Amino acid sequence: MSMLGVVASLPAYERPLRERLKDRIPAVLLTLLIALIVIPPLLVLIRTSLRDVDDTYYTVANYAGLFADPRLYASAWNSVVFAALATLLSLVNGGLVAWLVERTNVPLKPLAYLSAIISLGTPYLIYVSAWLYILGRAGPVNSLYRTLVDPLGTLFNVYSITGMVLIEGFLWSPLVFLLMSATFRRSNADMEEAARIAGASVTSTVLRISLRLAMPAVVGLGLFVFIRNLEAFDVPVLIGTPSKISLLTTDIYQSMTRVPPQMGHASAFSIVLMLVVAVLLHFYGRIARQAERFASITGKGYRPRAFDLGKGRWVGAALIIFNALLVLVFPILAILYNSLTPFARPLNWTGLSNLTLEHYRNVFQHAYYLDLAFNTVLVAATSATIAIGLTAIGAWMSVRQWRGSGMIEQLTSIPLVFPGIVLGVAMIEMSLRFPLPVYGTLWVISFAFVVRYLPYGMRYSHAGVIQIHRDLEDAAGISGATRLTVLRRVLTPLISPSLIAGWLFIFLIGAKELSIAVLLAGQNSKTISVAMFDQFINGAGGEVSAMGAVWTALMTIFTSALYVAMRKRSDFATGT
Amino acid sequence: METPSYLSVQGLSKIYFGTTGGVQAANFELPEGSFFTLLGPSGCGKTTTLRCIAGLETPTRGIIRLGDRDFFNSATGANIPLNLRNIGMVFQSYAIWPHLTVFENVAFPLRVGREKYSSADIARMVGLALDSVDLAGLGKRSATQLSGGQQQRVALARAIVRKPSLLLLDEPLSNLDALLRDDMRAELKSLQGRLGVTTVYVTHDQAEALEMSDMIAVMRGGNIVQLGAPRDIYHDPVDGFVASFMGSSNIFPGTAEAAARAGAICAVQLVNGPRVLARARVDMAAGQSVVISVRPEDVTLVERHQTQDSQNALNGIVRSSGFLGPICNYHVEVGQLSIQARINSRTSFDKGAEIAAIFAADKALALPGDASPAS
Amino acid sequence: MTSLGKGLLTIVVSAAIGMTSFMACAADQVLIDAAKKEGKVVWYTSFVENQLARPLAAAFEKQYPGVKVEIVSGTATDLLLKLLGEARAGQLRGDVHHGGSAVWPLIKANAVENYIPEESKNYPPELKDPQGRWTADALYFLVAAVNTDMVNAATEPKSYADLLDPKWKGKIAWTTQLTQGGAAGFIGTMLQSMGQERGMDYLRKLSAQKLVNVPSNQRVVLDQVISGEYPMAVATFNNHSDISAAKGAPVKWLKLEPVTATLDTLMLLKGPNRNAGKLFIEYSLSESGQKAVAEAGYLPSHPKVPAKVAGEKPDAGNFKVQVLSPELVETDLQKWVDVYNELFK
Repeated sequence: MSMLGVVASLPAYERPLRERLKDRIPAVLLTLLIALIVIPPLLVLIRTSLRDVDDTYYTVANYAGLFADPRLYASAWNSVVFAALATLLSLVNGGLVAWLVERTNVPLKPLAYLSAIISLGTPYLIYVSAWLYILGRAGPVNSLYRTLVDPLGTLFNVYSITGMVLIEGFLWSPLVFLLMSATFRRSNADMEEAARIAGASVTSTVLRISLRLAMPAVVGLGLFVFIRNLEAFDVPVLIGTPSKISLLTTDIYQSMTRVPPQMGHASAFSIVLMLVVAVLLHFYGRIARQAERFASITGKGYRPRAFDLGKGRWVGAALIIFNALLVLVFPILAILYNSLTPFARPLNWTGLSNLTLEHYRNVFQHAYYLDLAFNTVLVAATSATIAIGLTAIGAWMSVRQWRGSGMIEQLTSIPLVFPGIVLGVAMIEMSLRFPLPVYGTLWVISFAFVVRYLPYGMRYSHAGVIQIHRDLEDAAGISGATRLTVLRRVLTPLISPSLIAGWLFIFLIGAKELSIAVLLAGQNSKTISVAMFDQFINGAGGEVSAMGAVWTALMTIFTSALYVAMRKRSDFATGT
Repeated sequence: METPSYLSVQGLSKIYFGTTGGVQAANFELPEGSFFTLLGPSGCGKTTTLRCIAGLETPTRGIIRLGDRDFFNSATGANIPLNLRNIGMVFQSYAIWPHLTVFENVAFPLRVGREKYSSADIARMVGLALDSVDLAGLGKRSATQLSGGQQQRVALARAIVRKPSLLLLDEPLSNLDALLRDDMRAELKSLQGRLGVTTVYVTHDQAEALEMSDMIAVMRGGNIVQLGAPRDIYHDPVDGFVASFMGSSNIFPGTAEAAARAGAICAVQLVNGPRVLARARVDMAAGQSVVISVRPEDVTLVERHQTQDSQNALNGIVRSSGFLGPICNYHVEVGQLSIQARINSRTSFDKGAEIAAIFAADKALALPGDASPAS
Repeated sequence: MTSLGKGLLTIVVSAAIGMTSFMACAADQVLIDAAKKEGKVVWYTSFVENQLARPLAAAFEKQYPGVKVEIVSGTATDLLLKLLGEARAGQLRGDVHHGGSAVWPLIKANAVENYIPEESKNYPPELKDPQGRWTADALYFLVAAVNTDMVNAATEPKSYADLLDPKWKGKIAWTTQLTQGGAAGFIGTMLQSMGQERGMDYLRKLSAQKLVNVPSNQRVVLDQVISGEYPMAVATFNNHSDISAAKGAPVKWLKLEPVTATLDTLMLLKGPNRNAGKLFIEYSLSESGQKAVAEAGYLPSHPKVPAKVAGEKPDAGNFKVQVLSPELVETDLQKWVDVYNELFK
């Protein structure tokens, strides 16, 4: 063969520099953009962790203080146990309900959605307070027990590790539910049916096939919730402190409530946690790299079908009702009750016969709450849109291993462990030094929210992209589509359930975010949660409950409408 | 073949660092309108070659040229992005977009390509494409409501809708059931003929390759081991691997007893077996290790006393038989060897029958070297 | 003395009075004009916006048209964090600060402008800084409170010593806030009023009572007493109990003496509108400003302005107090926190 000579002399292909640059530019640009968003606050965090209380000199005392705690090991153990159990609870609870809703013919599906959305829309403050009220010594559970069984005893002591795990677990269940339902909706029924035909029971199909297929999503989500639980301040402190259960974050919370707050301690803790997270993410990355194997939307025989649970449907329905009672009905009833009593009081006949609408009158009297509501919706929607937009592209590049995309996932995970208050303080300085007059405006709050919620956006986007088989994109490329067109016309519609779920999640938690909003609010940029907090610390608990109830109702209507509209569209598109 | 080359692939290699997969060196030249098949077991590099042509992979080195256009040339650094190559491709997974209707799936290449089409043009061209794959009238369906065979047709319609300069098919039939597959084979071939589009087809099924192709490249371990027309490859395999991959199940290692010119009959001593006569495919030296390939349909079974003057008669025992309608498939134990024979089913032998397996020296090929079976 | 003499004296006195008031007016007028030129004052305040901050600002704007009040509200801690951030960036945006315990960190951050308000002459020395760095504009009294459904008048504690009664073991709640208005302030009061040795002795015994640390603010602790979660709390604000009791809540505050008194302070910041800031401070400390404070249920610091519930202030309510001044807090707070960490954590 004459061409062998030619062939032997062929040089190895070297991509021309221009093309190599062109190849890298999109991912590098995005990396830079994300770095620009997360690195400055990170630097402030590092600096804070190395400064003394009065911010006059550099010191490692904050780190030394972390490790000098004689109860460090006990606290660390408590923290890990708490975080792991709470994660497990939310994964099992949220995941199971998501599977039932998306993959089976269980009745009452809308109730599950409603539960998730309402509990996400409920301001955190009153949600936890409601739970503490329900399970507290004076609450209905224990007073019923006292009436029926033992007049002096308590059935359940909420101030315990169990109490903490329950409340934290319920808090995160909606996140798990929304994410997992997006995952399950997209999973390929063929694989489950193949298992059923091979003789597997429903249970073992779920365990061996459905769960395995959803594994990268589940592991990523579990890791994420675990980290959040590990660094959670509120529940461990609110519940752990009265019972003197010490967690890693307990002391840190204490030092943050001093005047002035000792943020070095908290910052040092965050930095240490960030290193732990980096290691965990590295291992997670290994799982995610095999994502192609798990891709369940391949563009062939894609027919999501529901399991027939038979009589088990009613067991499933019972589970959904139970879940709804826990995450929705009980807390909301407690909130409603508190908003209707003139002052905080036990749930009893005197209380029930002495209800008033006064708190609601107070709320509706103040026209300026309307402005606050508008601010809140604006900020939450803006930041949700930006965070989801950035992470959707970031997840796409990183899952498809674009040249230059190696840092994107790590970068977006950094803010996961930023304490809100530290991020808020960092933003104050940054916005004052920014050349444009943004200080105290809604822009800064939105920006801070974008930073804070990037990791959440990434979780949803990433879980969406790894489900899409690469062929679907390659086919578009072969058809002549540019990468931008592939993103716009193929990928985005396909992962829209995940994106919508993520957007909703960020929108709802953004709308109730407090610590950042409080610090960054200027005179015209207050959000509703800040106003609620003002009222709360002033002892207007009833008014706060009333505001919370109104707000929750608004959020529920808003998001339900959105969800129904979007879902209809995406379902129409996918023909399910 | 003096027809001018249309698709030319020279010295193509794609080496994945740290793995054994990929392509070592692929060379072939195809005339316009030909149906070319890359055939081989999984991991042989056939799909990688196809993906390199498509532009889904960037080769390590080599030249890929279509007409007078360098798709890729490591010498000049040319590398046209996949979306500008005007190629139609059917993926093994079909890659039908579940969020689009059948019509929109097929219309996609017309909507996103460089050339702009009016909506009337699009409707007409999509209609034609759907007609040509027998899906007329299904345009409004959601792609997810189709059967597997229909999805496959949608993928095909999408691949041909904008009259591509090259059609790439990656095991498109492997996901269909057997009956459908046979129909589709014929249909695909006739469609290709009608369109006259140069086609590269990847499969591991030698029957598909033989039936459809103008030319076949058998690949193994990243190299093309034999390139030729289906008949040549079938009847004249270059080695035991190709022979076995093309359906010859009787492959036995042995040693040439004496030197022989290509085409001459030579004697070969089989390892752990008798001595047989075979036609040397290439020049052989005495003592060279060779493999003998005999197609099962060229082996006849007879009662031992009927061996007469057959060139090769091996005494054995029938170990199993399979009735396939017109023919019957036998496994015969000859010493430590197992020979397969496929004979007219009117003659039948019982299991355990002591018989002789006979075949003409002319029908046995002595091939150089390696006898490792195709997977 | 003759009538002439009398008349002369009258003239002199009235002239003197007239002069003073004229001079005061003149000074005011200069300040007012300067303030109007600035046009606005940015007020960082921990007063609740609806209840007090807005009414007070509205009253000020009515009195001095042309000077707008921009309210930036938040908790004392949040406002402090904001101001410290602004100070670090070298761009203070606030003109006047009102917040409990923020005096010293702000002074250290060089954010405070010395200014002795005209109105402060009506205030006793313990309510103002001689250098004019701060003046108290509201008072807080930390007291014990009980749920009257759970604790009757006969069994309620009458003194701090009564808290050591074994029947209260595990029943007394308090906030974990380590400020002078929280647990630390309670500890400080004991140490100040009883002396170091007796105070520590008392606190040790108290720690054996296993106080329940509620990781929230004083108001929330009180709400938990009202809802029956705990029968009693210490270190709650006395006006909070009265507000709730007025609505019918079963709660009552106890005069265990001495009652902890802490100050909310008003400071002039090194902000952009210093004249408007001064004017606003003058108004806040004036009787009409202080009446607005009282009206909203807070305790005015002006000696002549009574609280809405008069008995909440020591004179009218007839109780002894231990004042924890900003200076004392600055020197001793860390000590009190250490005691908390040692005995109560």
